[in-house]
Amino acid sequence: MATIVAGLGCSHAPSIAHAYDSGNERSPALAPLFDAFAHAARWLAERRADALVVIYNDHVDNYFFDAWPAFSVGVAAEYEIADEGWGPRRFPPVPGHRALARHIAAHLLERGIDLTASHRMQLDHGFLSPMPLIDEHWRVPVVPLTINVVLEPLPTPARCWALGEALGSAIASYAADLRVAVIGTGGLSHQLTGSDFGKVYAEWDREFLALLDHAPQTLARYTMADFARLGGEHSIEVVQWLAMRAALPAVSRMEFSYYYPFGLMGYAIAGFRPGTAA
Amino acid sequence: MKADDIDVYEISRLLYSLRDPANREAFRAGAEAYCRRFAPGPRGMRLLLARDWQGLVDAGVSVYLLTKLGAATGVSLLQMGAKMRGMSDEQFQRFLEEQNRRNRPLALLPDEARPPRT
Repeated sequence: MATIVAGLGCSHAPSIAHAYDSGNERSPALAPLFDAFAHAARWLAERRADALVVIYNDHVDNYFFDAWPAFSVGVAAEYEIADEGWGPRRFPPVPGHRALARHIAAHLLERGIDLTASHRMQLDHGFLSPMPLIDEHWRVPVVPLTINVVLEPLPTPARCWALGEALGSAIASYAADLRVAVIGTGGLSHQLTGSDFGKVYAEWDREFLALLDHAPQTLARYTMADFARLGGEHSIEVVQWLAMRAALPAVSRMEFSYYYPFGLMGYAIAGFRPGTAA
Repeated sequence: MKADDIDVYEISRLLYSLRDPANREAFRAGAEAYCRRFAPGPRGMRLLLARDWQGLVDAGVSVYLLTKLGAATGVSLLQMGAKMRGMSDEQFQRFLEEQNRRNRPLALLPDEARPPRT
């Protein structure tokens, strides 16, 4: 039977990708962020995952407004690198864990989560800005899982929590002996329009991390509008952290968390070790 | 078509098309001609040609699509942000540096990674 061996939340941002691609990771401004990612990557490597379920959001690079699934899971053998306007980043396609993906798709439907299966998906920075820092050479196959945070109507945070719970049960019911890590990317605070463009809500970000540690389910009672008010319009991506946390057993605890408010973003990375009921 | 007409779906379709390098090249070669392949409406056309980022946002265009126009025309997200705030690039940079300083006490970092205090 498959088990979840780790949960990881982390920010995604084009700035991370640009620094990586330009070899700028050691600049004084960005070194703290890349050191935090390096710590998280070592921690995750020790959990020896056989598959990574990566919950993220697309930014109008794969999906378009003709139809945008509230939730989707990639069921492809591999995933292409999106061209977000600067040309595709120079990575080989990302290998998919097809059997686990198909199991998750079927199980989630049975659990009342009506999600879309994508047989072809291009990965954008929602996936690709953090993942090379976490598994640089694509050693571990992935299952990409998207949440719509772009085209209204959006799923509620409570529904994203339910998605995560169903994901946890899907992984637990997978017949093969597999070690799975669940990753949620996005956030924390950022605002990319209007007169508050670039505002970082650091106090709220720290409160969010504390809630995720001690009372994660309370975050499922927030609305998307609450998150937008507290952390900026584009911080609603934190629902991907909620879904990740909901996939883990309730008793799980945060093992580390890093937070770096810099530039346009409150960057964060946190690791969770799944607990077992006493 | 009235002068204040704007079609956000068509603008979105136009910006989405800029994921293709040939389309980016065509846009750079002639922005107005490229925009005429779509039907953004008269006001939409004006906002696009003026690169009125906040005007496009106010009309309902996603910033994630505006970054594709930025990429095609050499405008960074930071430059877009400065325009939306009504600041020069330098003023916006100073705002961000000041914000970094103010928020630094709230950072949580591996000890070896903590930036030097200024």
